[in-house]
Amino acid sequence: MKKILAESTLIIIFSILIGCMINLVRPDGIPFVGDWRNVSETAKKSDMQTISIDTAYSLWSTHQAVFVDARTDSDFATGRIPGAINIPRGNEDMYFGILRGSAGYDDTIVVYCSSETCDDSFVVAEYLRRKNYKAVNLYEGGIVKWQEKGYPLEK
Amino acid sequence: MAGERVSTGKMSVINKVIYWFLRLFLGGLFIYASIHKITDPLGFAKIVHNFQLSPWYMINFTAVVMPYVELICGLFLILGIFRLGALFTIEFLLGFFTVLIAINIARGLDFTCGCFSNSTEKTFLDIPLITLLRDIVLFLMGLYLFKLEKPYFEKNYKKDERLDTTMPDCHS
Repeated sequence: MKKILAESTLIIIFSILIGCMINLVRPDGIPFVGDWRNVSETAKKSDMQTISIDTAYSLWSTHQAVFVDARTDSDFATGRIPGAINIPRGNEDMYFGILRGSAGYDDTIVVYCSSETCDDSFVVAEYLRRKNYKAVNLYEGGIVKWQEKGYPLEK
Repeated sequence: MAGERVSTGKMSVINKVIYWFLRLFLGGLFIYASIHKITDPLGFAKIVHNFQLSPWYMINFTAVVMPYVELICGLFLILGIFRLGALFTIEFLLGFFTVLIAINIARGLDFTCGCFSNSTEKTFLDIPLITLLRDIVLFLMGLYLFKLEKPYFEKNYKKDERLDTTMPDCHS
């Protein structure tokens, strides 16, 4: 058994070395540590459409988009963009029915969370894309920037 | 030992066929599963992120290293280089993936496995319970392969036994 464990350890060490070396020399190698906490950085790593606070406000004020709040239900209760639907990260399936009742698959969806330093909106946006929503956008600034701008909140 | 010969001599023909099928199948599957991850590390990092079980600072590193562990284990299992170590690592990985998938099913998360594709589009094979079942079946196949390696363990067990019995003589 000791021999098997030793072989396994050698294989893992060898694989780590090979993987790291190839990643260093290949043109499309990725950083060994990437910041996945930040919604903007995370969105950049995928082909997710992101929108600014101005675009988000414009879409909201002209009722051209359905807003989805990806924060917990308690955060949602303390203040949200008026008309937003809550789909908390981690409970997507449970809350998804509310959105299905109010938005078609071709409707513009805007997903947000607290601020740029959360990635809940990214995870929920990915979930909605898997559910075949075609126009899912990430509003990166989140509720913090919305408040800073003095835009209305609903409780 | 690297390149150690397999003692299939005492196996029945059917066991030999099963043995080579399992070895080639598991090895080939791991090589196949590593290809899309190696060609698109960022896509695989996204899959790791969507699992929501890895600390953020480990996501990229996992995406860089994991595919090569799979590739080398698959290659070594087929070629017979560190054969049992490769099989043990494959079993460890399958057990690990099974636990991760079970945790996410229990959490009620909607996720794609990313086992054979980086796409977030769901296919029949990406249904979480199907993925879990598939991993359990693969794990059991690996265990059976270990069972067929029994002659190896018996040989080593006897060696150890001989060593044990000679030990007191050494001290006396």
